[in-house]
Amino acid sequence: MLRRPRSTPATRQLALLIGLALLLTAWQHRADRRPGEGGKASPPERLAVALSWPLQRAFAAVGSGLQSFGSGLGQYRRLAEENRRLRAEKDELAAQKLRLVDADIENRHLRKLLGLALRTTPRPVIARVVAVNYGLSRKRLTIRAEDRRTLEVGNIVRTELGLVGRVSEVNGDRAYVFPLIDAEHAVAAVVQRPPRDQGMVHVAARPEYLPDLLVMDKLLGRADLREGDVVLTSGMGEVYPPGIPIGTVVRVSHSSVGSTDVTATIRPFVDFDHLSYVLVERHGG
Amino acid sequence: MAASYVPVGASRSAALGHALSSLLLLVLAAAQATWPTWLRLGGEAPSLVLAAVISLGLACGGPGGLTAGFIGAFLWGAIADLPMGNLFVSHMGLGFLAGTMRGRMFSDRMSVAAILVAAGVIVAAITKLLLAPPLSPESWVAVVFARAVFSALLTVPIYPLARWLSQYYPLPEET
Repeated sequence: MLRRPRSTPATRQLALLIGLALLLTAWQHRADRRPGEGGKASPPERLAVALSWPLQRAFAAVGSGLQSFGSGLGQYRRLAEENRRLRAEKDELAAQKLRLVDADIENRHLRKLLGLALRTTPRPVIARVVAVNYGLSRKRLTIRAEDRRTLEVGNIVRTELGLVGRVSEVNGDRAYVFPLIDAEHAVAAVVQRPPRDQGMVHVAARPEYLPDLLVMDKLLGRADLREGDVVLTSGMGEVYPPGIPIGTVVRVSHSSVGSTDVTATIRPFVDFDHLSYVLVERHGG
Repeated sequence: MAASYVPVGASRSAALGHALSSLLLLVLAAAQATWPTWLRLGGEAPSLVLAAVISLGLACGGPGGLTAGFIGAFLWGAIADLPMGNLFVSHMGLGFLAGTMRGRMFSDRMSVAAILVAAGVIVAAITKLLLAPPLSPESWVAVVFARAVFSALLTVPIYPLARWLSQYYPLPEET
């Protein structure tokens, strides 16, 4: 009589595991195909996911923390480099300041020797902007001096950044400012960089008008203008003193065929939409 | 001559070994599923579960590798929401095959474990390619190569754990 050979524990384990694997695969396949099944996972799969969920959260937090640490380290290096550069720049500026002080002392000494009077700049008056009228046709600012000092027609109005305009009318302690961005306003200007080309700065005529940009024209065709150039008042016409910053060149365009005119678009240094305080200076003594 | 697979206390020891191996596989499956994108090699996460299955097989023998392959395939399939069929075939087969090398020459060397893991990742990828082909197999070779190399590298910390767990899986003794 033939007897079936007895299975070893290893064979039984193999058979058991293959059976379980087949069962789990079939269960997964069935759950996956069932319409409307929440999550499309069989109960054993859900159990495994539930068991691993706290671990997954912990690993994700560690990974995210390490990433933040790494990016912080990179940021630290960049900031350290920037700090080093700014310190070097500060030292250079301090040295420049010392040289300027030396030059000023020498200048005063030479003026004294030549018998020339010392130039003194009057302290500007601080004025508060109390009204703004940016209508389509006329633009006006109303200012009032903080210490009730009298303002005069022709006073120059500026901020620490650049030119705002000039006082056109005074009424008691209030003054009306004719700003740079008024369509009827034009300022004689010069490019700071040599060869110091000169022109007129005003707002662009419609339809090219842009509310926060100015135009510099009346430049000769050989004018050397570049993006980034700083434009200052030239002092021509004696309406404004020379050297007040107006803005920077953001675009240079050569006009139509046959003409050699050059036009520069300028972004003013002063933010006319957010003026709250201005400096008022006397011009011409 | 008969081989004694069940020495005194061995079944209890193996049960503890299976429990600890399952815990290790659960931790590695969770780590593999949440592997950070900035720590990937060629955009690929390592096959930590497969590395552990092969290491456990190599250190603990055929039955240990087979069980580890079964548990690893189930956990990874459930957590990553992958079809389990090809995972069971590849993981159980590779775990068992690695287990047959237990006690042989050089089987306790880390480098052998790393090479076997790299080969195992490629075999598993081929199994998956045959049983569940991807939608776009163009970049398959580069992906598999990156994963195999990365998994082999990460076998270095996994294999010592498998060696430590091997104390719960006694070698068959001649009686």
